[in-house]
Amino acid sequence: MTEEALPRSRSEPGTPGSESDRGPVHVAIVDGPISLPGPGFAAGDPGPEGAGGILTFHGVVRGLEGGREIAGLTYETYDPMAKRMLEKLAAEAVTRFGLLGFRVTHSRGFVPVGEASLLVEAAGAHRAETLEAMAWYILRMKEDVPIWKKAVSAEDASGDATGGGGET
Amino acid sequence: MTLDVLLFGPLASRAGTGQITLPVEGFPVSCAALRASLARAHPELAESLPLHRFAVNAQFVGDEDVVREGDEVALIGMVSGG
Repeated sequence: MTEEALPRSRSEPGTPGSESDRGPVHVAIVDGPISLPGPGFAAGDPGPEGAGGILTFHGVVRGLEGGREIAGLTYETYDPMAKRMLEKLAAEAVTRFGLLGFRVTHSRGFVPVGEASLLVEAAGAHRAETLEAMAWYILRMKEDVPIWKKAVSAEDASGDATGGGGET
Repeated sequence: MTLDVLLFGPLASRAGTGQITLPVEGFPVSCAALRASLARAHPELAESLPLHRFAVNAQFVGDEDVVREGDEVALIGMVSGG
């Protein structure tokens, strides 16, 4: 995949315009599936200083949509609004829940079944705020971030995307 | 004068296009007027239009807000990220 990687530090290279670095907030949209465990806190990074709870959520593409077998989901994003909204909500989550860090990666384009299309990581002094923030963020993201998914049937996996949307 | 409105996802599928060009009498034009114009020009979208939001220059706006010449306008239907 072509990944606009989340930075581990400001000195690491990234694709210009592809990542945000607003203090404790890091947001990226990548082409294709997200490599796990991902470039964030879970990959051996102890997280922000003072973090006592680091919560990681992977949204993974399911193999069935409406009882029908699919090959994957294709994500369409309205750029740059999608990334701006991911950033805006992430910054709000940090403020609202007093988090120490918040990282989000979302896919665009085709993501096969079993692969991750969303990675969210929340770091806080305690577990409670990370759990609350995660639930809040994902709900808001599903309401306000202009990203659309479309199921790709197993039959059409090698051709054009077909089918309706679905949940991961 | 005309104004282009971007569509995505299921809305674009329903309209059969990712971009609709609407006639406007001039700028600025209110989003409420755009909504009414869209309903007239694209009856296939009319029923669900009250449920959708406009974004102007990549920010959600209300029907009371206005669009100026050169603004990027999108009609955002139900999203399904994640």
